Amino acid sequence: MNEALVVIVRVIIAFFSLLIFTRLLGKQEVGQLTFFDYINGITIGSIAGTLATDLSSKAWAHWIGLTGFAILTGLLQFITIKNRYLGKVLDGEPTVVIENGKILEDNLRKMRIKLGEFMMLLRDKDIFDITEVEYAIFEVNGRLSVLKKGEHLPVTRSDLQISSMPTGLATEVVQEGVVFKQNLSQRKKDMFWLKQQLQAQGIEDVQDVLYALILPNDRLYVDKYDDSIGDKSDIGDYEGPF
Amino acid sequence: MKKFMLYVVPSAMLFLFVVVMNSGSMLKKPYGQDDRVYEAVKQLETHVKEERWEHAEKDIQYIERAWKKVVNRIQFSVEKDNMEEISQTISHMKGQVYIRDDQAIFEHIYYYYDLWDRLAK
Repeated sequence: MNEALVVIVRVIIAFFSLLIFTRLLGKQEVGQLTFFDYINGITIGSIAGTLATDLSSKAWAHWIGLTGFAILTGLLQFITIKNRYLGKVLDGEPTVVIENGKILEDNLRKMRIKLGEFMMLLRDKDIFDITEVEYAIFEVNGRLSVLKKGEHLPVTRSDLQISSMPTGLATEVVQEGVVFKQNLSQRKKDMFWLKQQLQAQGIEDVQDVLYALILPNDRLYVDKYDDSIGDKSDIGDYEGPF
Repeated sequence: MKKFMLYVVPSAMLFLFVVVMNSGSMLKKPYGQDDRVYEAVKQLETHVKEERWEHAEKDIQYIERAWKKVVNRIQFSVEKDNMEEISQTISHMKGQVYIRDDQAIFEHIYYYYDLWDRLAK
């Protein structure tokens, strides 16, 4: 038996199975995971690891385990989307822990959070004076959301009635000398426009461009390979090599 | 076409993985003249019963070679422990053939039959 070869084949199976299953399960962000999602993810990863390297048992048994967890996760996702009540039961609900500046200690107790921990979470949100808080809510992913009282909220442009420029998304049009024509046409531009813009910035060849974006205000941001930067920005304090 | 490939490639990969992981029961079967492990052990049993030890020696050498060939095919889908147990049993049988121990060898032949039955199931 060639153990290395068997591990290589099993790694390929585990790696691509995991990749396919996670793509099928969607794009839930790590920061948005509930405690259960987090543990479930660790379990799935652990099964995939065992599938790759535990030669004392059949790969099939581990793969079935991995598939089972993926199917059940997908099923739960489907149920929580389709049925609001079951969604609440399975995912939990956000819990209000401060209302009108008053700590709701019963809710804190239900969440099994100590007052000390709670104060730490508030400080983590840059709140050192609890009287500034109108509402504090524990989200299902374990994070604390805080709404400050009106008098402690920062002033915005609309408060001061200052007009603001429209915002939008920047569009990548050149990356490492390659032009993305599809992105150009999305912004209703063409190669002629791009060449004109580059020439205006003293660039004759698109191959000299590392990265270019069309900004929301239709201006072109260009970063060349040649940065023309001296030694001043080198903040290293050791000669190296390392 | 791209969308079609987006579904076909992962599905084909998953199908291939399932086939590889379950191929053991098919691949343990003989596919030529030099990989007939089970039949060779049956023949060894007959030769030991008839006390034809020279034939038994040839049988056990063939079994060792044939088993190595089968291992190369089934290693991706069966437990390492199961394969090692069969290898050990064959080694036991080999020793018992050389010392002409017809009592111990039957124990290992029948143990081998059981291991073979359980292989890739």
